Amino acid sequence: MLIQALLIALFAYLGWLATPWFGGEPIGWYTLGRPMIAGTIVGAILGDIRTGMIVGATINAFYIGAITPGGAMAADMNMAGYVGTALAIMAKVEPAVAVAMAVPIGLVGTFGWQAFSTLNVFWVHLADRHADELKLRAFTFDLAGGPQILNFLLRFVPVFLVVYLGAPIAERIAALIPGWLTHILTVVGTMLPAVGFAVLIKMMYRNPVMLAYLAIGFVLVAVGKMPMVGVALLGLGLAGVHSYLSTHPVVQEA
Amino acid sequence: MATQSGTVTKRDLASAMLRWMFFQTSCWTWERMQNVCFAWHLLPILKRLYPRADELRAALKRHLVFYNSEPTLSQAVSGMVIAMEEQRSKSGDIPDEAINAIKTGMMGPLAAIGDSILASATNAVLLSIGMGLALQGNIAGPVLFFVAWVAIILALSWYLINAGYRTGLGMTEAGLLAGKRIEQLTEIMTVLGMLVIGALTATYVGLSTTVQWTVEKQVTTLQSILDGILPKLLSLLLVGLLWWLHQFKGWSVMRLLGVTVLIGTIGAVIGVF
Repeated sequence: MLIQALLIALFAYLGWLATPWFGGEPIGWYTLGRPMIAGTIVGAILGDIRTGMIVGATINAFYIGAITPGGAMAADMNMAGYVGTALAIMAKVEPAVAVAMAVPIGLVGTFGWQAFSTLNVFWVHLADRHADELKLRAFTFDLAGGPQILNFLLRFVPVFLVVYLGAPIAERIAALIPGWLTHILTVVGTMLPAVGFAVLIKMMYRNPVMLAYLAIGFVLVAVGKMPMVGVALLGLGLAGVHSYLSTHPVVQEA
Repeated sequence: MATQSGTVTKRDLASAMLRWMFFQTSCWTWERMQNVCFAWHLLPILKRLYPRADELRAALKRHLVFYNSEPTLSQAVSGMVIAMEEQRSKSGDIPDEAINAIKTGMMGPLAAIGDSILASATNAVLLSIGMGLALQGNIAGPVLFFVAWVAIILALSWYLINAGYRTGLGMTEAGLLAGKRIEQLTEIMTVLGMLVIGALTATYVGLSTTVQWTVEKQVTTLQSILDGILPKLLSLLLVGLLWWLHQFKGWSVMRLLGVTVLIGTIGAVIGVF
C-alpha cells in the first residue's frame, strides 16, 4: 500500500496547477488534474482501471466547467479526483460520498495554493536580484527549483497522507492548520497584486491623462461588472479616439 | 549597435514556446503572477540578441514586471515580444514603454478569451465526450480526451507564437515599430494597458474591511458604506497609494511589498480585514 500511495501522490503532484514537469498548466493540470484522468490512473495503480475510470468520470461531473481564471483557486478537483477515487476503491464507498470526503481535504489544497502564491514572493525578489547580477543558473533555480520544493510538499504530502492513512486521520491533520494563518495569507494574497499594478502604472505613466483611462477601466468592472473582452474593445475604441485627437493634424499625410 | 548576430529561428520559437508552456505557473505569485517565467522563457533568445551584459540585464528587468494571461493564448504575446526584441537589438529604436504597452494591452483581453473559450468551453466539451464513454467503462474516453486536448494545445501554441512573431515582424517592416509610428502605437497600447490595469485592479485586488458597529441593535458594516460610495474603493486606494509612493516618493518595490504585507497582517490580526 505504501508504494501505491506514493505513486498516487506523485501523479497528483504532476497534475497540479503549479507543477511544470508534465507540460505545465496547459497540459498537466488540464489532463492529469481532471478527475476522469486521475480516476483512471488511480484505478490502474490500484489494479482496477474500470472502476477507477467510472468513479473518476462521476467525480468529474461535479466539476465540469470549473476553470482556474487568473490563478484564482476554484474547486480543488485534483485532490477530489485522486483522493476521492482512491477512497472510493479502497473503502468501497459511493463516488458521491468519496467526493464529500475529499472536499474538506481539498481545503488543504486551497490553503496550499494561497501559501504557495504568497510565499513565492521570496523567489520573485531573489530572481530580480539574480537577473540584475546576471547569475543565470541561480535565476533558473528561482523559477524551476526553489518554488517547486514547496509546491511538492504542499501537494504530495497531503495526498499521500490521506491515501495512506485514510481520510479521518487526514481530516484531523487538516484541522491543525490554524484559521488565523489561512486568514492572514488570504488577506495578504488579495492585496499583493496591488504592488504589481503600482509598478506597472509607474512604467506606463506618461501624463495625468493616463490616470483617467485607469479610472474608466476600474469603474467599468467594479461598478459595471463588464467582462474583460468588453473592456478591451472599449479600450481599443478609446485608444483610437485618443490617437485621432492627439495626431489629427498629422494624420492626413499617412 | 547594429549587431547581426541575433536572428530568431524556428528552433528559438519552439524553445520559448515549451519553456513558457511548462513553467509559467512554476513561480506564480499574487504579486507579479507569471513574471519570472516571462523573463526566463525569453532567456536563450535575449542572451543571443544582447551579447553585452548591461543590455541583457536591462532586457531581463524589462520582462520581470507584472504579467498574467491565459497560458496558451499568451504564446501570441511571446511571438510579438520576440519580434520586437529582435528589432530592438538590431536598431535600438524600440523603447521599453512600447514593449511594455504591447504586453500589458494584450494580456488581459487574451486571458479573458482564453479562459472562457479554451480553458472552459473547449476543455469541458472534450471532457463531456470522454466522460460519456468512460462511464460505460470504455477506456477510449480518457484516452481520446487526453490525446485531443494535448494535440489542440500543442498545435495552437505553435501556431500562435509563430503568428505573433510574424505579426511583430510585419509591423516592423511596415515601419510601425519605428520613429513617430512607434510613439503612436505605444500611446494607443498605453491607453489600452491603463484601462486593463484599472479593470484588473477591480478584478484581482480584493481588499475589504470587516469593521462593523451596532447602534440600537442595528448592525452597520463599514464595507456596505464604502460600497455605497464606490465598490472596491479600498482596492483602488491601495493601488493608488502604492503607485504614489513608488512614483513620487521613490519607494522601492521591496519596501512597497513590506508595507503591504505589514498592513495586511496587522489588519487581519486585529480584525479590520
